[in-house]
Amino acid sequence: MITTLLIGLAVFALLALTVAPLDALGWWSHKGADEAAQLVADILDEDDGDDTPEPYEHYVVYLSGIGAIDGLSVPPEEEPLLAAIAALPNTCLIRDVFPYSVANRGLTAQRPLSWLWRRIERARLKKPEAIAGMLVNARNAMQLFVSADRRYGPAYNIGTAREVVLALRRNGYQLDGGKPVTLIGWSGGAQISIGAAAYLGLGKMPVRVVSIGGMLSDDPGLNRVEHLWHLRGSKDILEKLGGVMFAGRWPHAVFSPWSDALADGRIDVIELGPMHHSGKLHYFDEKTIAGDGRSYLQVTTDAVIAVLTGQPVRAITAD
Amino acid sequence: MDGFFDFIASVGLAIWLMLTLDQNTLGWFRAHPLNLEISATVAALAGISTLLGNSVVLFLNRVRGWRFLVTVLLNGLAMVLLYALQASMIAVIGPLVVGHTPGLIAIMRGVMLATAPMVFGFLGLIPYAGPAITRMLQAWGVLTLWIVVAALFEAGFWPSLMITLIGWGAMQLLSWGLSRPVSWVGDQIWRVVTGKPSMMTGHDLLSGQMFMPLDAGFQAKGER
Repeated sequence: MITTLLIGLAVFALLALTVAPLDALGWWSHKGADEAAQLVADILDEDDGDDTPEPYEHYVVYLSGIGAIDGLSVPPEEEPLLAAIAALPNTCLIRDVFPYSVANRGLTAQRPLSWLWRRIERARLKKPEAIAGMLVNARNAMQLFVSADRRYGPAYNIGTAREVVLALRRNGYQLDGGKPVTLIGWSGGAQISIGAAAYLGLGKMPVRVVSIGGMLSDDPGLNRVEHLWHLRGSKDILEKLGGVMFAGRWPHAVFSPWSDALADGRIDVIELGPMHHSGKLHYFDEKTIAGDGRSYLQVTTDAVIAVLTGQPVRAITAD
Repeated sequence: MDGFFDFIASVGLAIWLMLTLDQNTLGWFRAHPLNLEISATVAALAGISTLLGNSVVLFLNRVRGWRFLVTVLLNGLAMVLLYALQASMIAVIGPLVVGHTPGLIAIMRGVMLATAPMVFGFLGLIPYAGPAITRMLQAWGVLTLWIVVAALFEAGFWPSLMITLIGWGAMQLLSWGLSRPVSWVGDQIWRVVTGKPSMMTGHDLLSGQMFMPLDAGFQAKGER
């Protein structure tokens, strides 16, 4: 019985993985290629003739972890971090991009399975640790691998890059203005960030990425990232898995954008402390207090703010 | 109706026996009255599955409808020709190595049966791990071919390995040697049909090179 169940689960997982790229490929085939062509033309435009001054000096785009169900469903535990970023002077925080859909379409939006995701969302709201909620994580984790794939990644990442550009423009950003843009990606959002950077960094936009426990690949997008700060917990298994699963991140990997960026000094790997990826003692845990009196949430928030403001990061060393 | 389900079960059993590299497969297979149909079905399933696994390039080139169907059928035809060549090569080399032959038809049937691992070729669509899975299935296909060749020619470890590697190598060489001219012909047809400069190939994508929409006139300026 258990064997049959396990085989059934394995078959279901394989089939789900097999169809995972279809969302991005369908978008590309339907209208994505045309939209992407326009996006690239806009990014490469040296001067679009619009000299309206930008209202901010710095733009920050937050891409949430694999638990997100749409662009606006940031888990409450991440809110203090976002509030701290939003409080920075002259900084625009954008938080309505859903990184796990090329068209910024939340799981509960117009989709064939939206009814299922709505039910799961309701179950998750009642009981955050519900098993059904893991389906959201699994579905979004698959999109992370679509982004990291050399075949699908280019199509997927240009879709998310387009959504980032649209969000930037809604907030007054000028593509030919050269104002810095920082993508902050938590967990899977970090891989999506470096994937999107491949296109965002084509023109004048200086793109920086902050990864919080990101499961990062050796994405070619790293070639167009000005700097990557990879904040990680020493007990974060999923973050470590990225370094094992993606061969281009192995030590001394050749022809690897990750190795090249490391050699160029464009990647800072910063260990924050003994954080786990999820469950207890995670990056956004406000109940666990470190030796210096700060909560894990505060440590993570301080680190992100320090990176954004060019200050040294204060890490912790023990529980 | 029972006959149909029996046939499906036999196809499933043949695939399973090949996947598990069961040395007795050929004995059961030879005795089966529908062995030609079974081997043809296995090969057809393997072909369709492999082509599905490779269809990402068609999606990226926005090939739809009848053009999608025609492209898949043409690729399927090319695949059949490659396997026919492999069988012919084995039929030529085998007798030279072991001094006797089971006959071309039996070899054709065996080669078709040996494609069983590629029934899972659609798994090549899996993000990130897909290409590695495809390579693994191809390697598995060489092992199944080895088992089949050993049984067909009643040959030992080394003679059967030699026949297998020559047959498989010939197919790989031809596939590699013809890929450029075939791509060129395909490109010319693509230009005539679509008016666009070139078709992105699986090689372009798998190479990891950045690719862009065909009409965007893309030049990477921002490499750091």
